[in-house]
Amino acid sequence: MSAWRWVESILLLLPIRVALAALFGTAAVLKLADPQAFLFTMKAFGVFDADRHDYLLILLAFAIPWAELLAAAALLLGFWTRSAALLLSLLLLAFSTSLLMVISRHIDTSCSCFGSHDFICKGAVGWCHVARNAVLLVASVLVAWRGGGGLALDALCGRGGCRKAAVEPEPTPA
Amino acid sequence: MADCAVLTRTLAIIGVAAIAGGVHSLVVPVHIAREKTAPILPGEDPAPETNTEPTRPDVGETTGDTAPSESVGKIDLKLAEQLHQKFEAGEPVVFLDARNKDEYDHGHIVGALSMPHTRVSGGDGLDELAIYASPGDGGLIVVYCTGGDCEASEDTAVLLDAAGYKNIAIMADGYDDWAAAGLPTETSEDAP
Repeated sequence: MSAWRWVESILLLLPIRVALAALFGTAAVLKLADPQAFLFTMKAFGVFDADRHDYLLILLAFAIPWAELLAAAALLLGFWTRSAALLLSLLLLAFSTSLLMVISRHIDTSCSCFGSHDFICKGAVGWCHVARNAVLLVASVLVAWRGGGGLALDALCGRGGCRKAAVEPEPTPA
Repeated sequence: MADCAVLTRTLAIIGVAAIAGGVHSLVVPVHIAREKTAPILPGEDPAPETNTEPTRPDVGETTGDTAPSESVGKIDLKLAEQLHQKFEAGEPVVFLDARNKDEYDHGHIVGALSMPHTRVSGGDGLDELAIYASPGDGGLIVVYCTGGDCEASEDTAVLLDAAGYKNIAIMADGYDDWAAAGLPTETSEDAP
């Protein structure tokens, strides 16, 4: 691995991975602690008709925090890093689209992104929440593009899996 | 090829999350809606089940439609004022403020309890409500939020319904209209 790749891993990718894992892990735990609140928030967002798609909303109220939790764990370990970051990017795109719909419809509701707690943005859904999501989206897309870096389980296992990586170590530059 | 593996693994994580979420939703009960019925006002006998004629349209009586309309169980400002007078006279009426605690502290209907849905699901709200009303005791619970399209009243009502409180009325005009009409309000500092 080149020196630049190590610098990128330690100074850029590792901090971003840890920060994203901490944020989404916390968000997931807070949502799973009170799934009812998250369900009401999704209902208030009005993306799905609660009368017609009540089972879908209930499933999403549990599945989304679980997806965040699994992605956070994967990012922290650096295992399936690009997949986890891609998943978070997709979630952030979906969240941002929902937030824009809420703002455009002038719906007065809280975000419940971190349960009943606030992170940076306070009060009802607004542009602050969209901006926060945009920053997180840039970070997660960066990890999805560049991978977990040298300090990740993915790097230990290499492209061909852990066994192959052990037999065929990455060649060192001359 | 590598991108295909990334997509496959992303789908795998989504699948595991969906299964975990599905199982979790079977273990932890949540509520999304309630059967909307017309509230029974204090001193009024429940209407017999065979009576299909609307007798109290101003409180959202069912009109024979297969699906309840949005107005079912909702009361207007005038009726809410009358109910508040009954509450102050000691009749079994409880006013619940479904807005968040900050909004409640800044001003609420006199005698109303702070009851955002998080307090109901957390259990402490039900403990406080049990001091004033019990499920099945016939008392009327009036829930309000800001007004307009606010969902907070309905969210609190859904959880109260699940807890056994069936006689619930939602104030269609919220706190803002109540205060604008000059009806009695207080802040948390004013409350005894």
